[in-house]
Amino acid sequence: MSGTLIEAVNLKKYFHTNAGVVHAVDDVSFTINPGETLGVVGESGCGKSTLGRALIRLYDPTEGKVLYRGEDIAAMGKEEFRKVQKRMQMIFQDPYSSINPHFSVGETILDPLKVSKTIADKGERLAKVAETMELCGLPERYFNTYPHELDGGRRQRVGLARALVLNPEFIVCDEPVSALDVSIQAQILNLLMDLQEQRGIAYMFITHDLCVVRHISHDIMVMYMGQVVEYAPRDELFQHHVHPYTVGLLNAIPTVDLAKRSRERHLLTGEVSNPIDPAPGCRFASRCPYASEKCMQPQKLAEVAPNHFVACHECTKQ
Amino acid sequence: MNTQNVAAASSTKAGQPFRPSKKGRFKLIWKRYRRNKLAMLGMVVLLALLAAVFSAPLYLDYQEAITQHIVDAFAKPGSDGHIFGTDQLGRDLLARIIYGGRITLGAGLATVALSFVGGVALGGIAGYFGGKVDNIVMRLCDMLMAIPGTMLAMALVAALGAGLDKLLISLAIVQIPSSARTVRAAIMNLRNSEFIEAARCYGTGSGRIIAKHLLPNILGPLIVTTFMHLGSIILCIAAMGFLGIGVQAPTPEWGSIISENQSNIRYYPYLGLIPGLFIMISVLSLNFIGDGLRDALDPKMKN
Amino acid sequence: MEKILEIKNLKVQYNTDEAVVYALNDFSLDLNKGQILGVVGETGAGKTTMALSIMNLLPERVAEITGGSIRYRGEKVFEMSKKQLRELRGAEVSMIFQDPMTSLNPVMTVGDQIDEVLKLHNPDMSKQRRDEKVAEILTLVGIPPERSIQFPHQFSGGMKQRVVIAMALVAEPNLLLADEPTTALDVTIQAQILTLMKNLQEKFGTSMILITHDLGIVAEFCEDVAVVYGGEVIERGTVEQVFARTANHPYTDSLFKCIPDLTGSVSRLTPIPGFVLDSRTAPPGCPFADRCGSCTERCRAEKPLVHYVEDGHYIKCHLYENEVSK
Repeated sequence: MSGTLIEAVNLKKYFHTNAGVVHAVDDVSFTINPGETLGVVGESGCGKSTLGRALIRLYDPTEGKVLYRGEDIAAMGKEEFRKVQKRMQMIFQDPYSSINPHFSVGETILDPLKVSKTIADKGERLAKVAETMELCGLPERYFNTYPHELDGGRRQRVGLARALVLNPEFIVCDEPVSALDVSIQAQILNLLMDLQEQRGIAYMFITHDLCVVRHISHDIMVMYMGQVVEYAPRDELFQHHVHPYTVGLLNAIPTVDLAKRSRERHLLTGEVSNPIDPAPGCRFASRCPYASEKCMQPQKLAEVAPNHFVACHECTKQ
Repeated sequence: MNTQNVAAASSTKAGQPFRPSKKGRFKLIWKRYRRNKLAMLGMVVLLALLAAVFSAPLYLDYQEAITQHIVDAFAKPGSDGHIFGTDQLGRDLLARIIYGGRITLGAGLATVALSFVGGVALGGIAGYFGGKVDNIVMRLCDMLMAIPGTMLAMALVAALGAGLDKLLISLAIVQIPSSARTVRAAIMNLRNSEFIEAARCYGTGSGRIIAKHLLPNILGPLIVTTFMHLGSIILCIAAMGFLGIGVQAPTPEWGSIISENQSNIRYYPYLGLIPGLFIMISVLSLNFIGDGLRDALDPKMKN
Repeated sequence: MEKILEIKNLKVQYNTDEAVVYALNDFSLDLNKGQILGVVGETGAGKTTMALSIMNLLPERVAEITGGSIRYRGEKVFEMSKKQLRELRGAEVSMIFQDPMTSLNPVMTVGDQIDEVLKLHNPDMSKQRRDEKVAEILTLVGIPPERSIQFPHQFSGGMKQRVVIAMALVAEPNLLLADEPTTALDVTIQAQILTLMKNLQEKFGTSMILITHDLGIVAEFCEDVAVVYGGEVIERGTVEQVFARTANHPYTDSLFKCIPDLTGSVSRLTPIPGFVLDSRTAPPGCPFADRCGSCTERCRAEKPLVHYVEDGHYIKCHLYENEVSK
């Protein structure tokens, strides 16, 4: 069996709206190995959430494929997909809207087991729920608690438990900590990392926060308006980032280090627009300080160092 | 396997955490509802009315309401044994109002139940599936809503024929579009919530999503609008009774009581005032209850 | 230095159906003219309640002030007349909220909304002068003045926040309260907006309170910092003093430890154990006691006093008792 768990091949997802065709995800390819984390970074509207949802077939791709252990999930039959579906789960950003307010904590975690019929026996199901709750740091007494009685951090644990109860191999984490307080953020991040070590779960970690992504990822992919602009192993990306957008993103992050306070900040000007019927060429060109004529031509990801890919005419020319 | 079962069973017993309870929510709603004095008054009045009307056979013979005693005609309210007086045929007005209430209020409740079920089914389907299905269902509803309610109900009764059951059905058909619309709007709001996506992630089918995840979450606003509708349905039933459609004489019904006594109201005003008062009281109570429920169920009204 | 704002031992509670929420407990804070103060804290620490109290905008009936006072330029805010309050809100103190849509009217053009603020506070100003002012302020916040005839929905999130800033500054207030002004924005836009706010603050000489949960923002944009936990200021000092990390409140210290940073070695973060203080309880001792690594019996029983560790840098913690108290 090949080592790759999830592979996206030239994945595209377009949405047809009144304003035109939104190229939410445009020609994205990557691989995720078992037990590893791919961090996906980008600002709002860059297509990172759409990408995550396409991976677990909440959306069907417009073009391209998602392979699970080498098999195209879109081509699978209903029964076949149900088996794979259990192995791929998702946790969400908003701890408030991602949990059904009419389900108690116990019911929330029990529901996936009931629906997927993985465990037939009722007692065993409850035992599994209890085990998962403990794993996620939820005391048993919360079984009958309703979500509105819990704070954001505990709700996020419930969301995580709901995903974990099916023993997935892969979890799409869509900004799971960005709505949480910093002190709680660290708890959840550590919990995710512990689970990865214990159970070898692979993550796709979607976030806008480069600091968080540095912490948890093995590989990092930077997206801009539906396209990958830079893709590299974590340390490589943080030490040798080359794409002007990555540079701008890193510069924009406020840091607690006072020594850096007086550093020169090259702030990006302009704003992200929607990728509606985009022109060919670099989509970052309108905000890029180095943009030239050439940037109107379509660009491709080029390998600038081993496993380090950049899509930019200007910085990859040597 | 056995040990696991034991473990689960013992933990069930220990702190009883494995038994769902919804007590907390209802307690809070009740606490908020209780603070609204008018809503409380409305509820007490309505409950008293319902109790009086539906336990009628226990303390009052139906014959009292329909048997004619021409000798006793037009007895004034309060005169020997007739608290509300008698009508032109000598029937006790109180008895007629009590048995009339059974029809008016009962038919109102039944209509609301029918339109509730119909509205949830249609609105749920339209809201959840969207697109073409939504378009077809909602345009049908628009068509029905373009005709004034009472008129449509009259036309339907005329087409279906007389009888209480036909009246119920036609009134329900009139009400369905507006409750379908409420349900649809609420479902559309929720349809893209992350918890729905989460349920899809683990393979929940459409039916289960609608029944277990969507409907419980829209029940609150739905009950409120239903209560609000109940008032207008009762008015509608009374109006139909007044026009002589639906309930047939001598069966008493609040609206038809007024219409029977139409010609005598000038000299014996209590014959119109008293049943009118009952219609007014019940509609007002329902509206107060609806208001109170809306405030109590709205999570934004926390304080 | 003139003190523009003085909050003394303020106590605010919310009486809700479920429980009494103690939002502010003995909250004290002062602000000098022209200063930028960062107020840092987590959810439920009382940051927003503080801002609303300054404007005397606490929700009526629910909120109850049980003690303390706020003085704005020596005047007690809670004793002001209706007329004085109107003067205070907008002309003297302006507020910027997290979600720009809450302060923008969706059916009014952006230009008209800014004009409205001007009209309210300068009734004598001529229409022509006001138009000039609107164009001027829009240019200042980086919006082409031609866009003043557009409606809020035609602006992106960052641009909307610029409009809100323009509205807040057009009456040239002396104090600006910014409640998480950039939390809803992307990082690159956040950097733009914060830089803009700082430049405008320098230009107008406005005093500013920047409420945030992000220590990084405080380090880069503020001069002073107040750390809030459980409805009180537990540490206060200049940014240099607090971020030097020589002496810190245990809570501030653990906050530093649990933020993932771009520099430094990548290892496990050290989360603060437990959960954010439930503000429905009012602990008799230190609010952070339950989560604190160096908590003693005394911390649970007795509220720590203010202990100065340096000039202008105080920490409310029993650990620093031996420092010279002022």
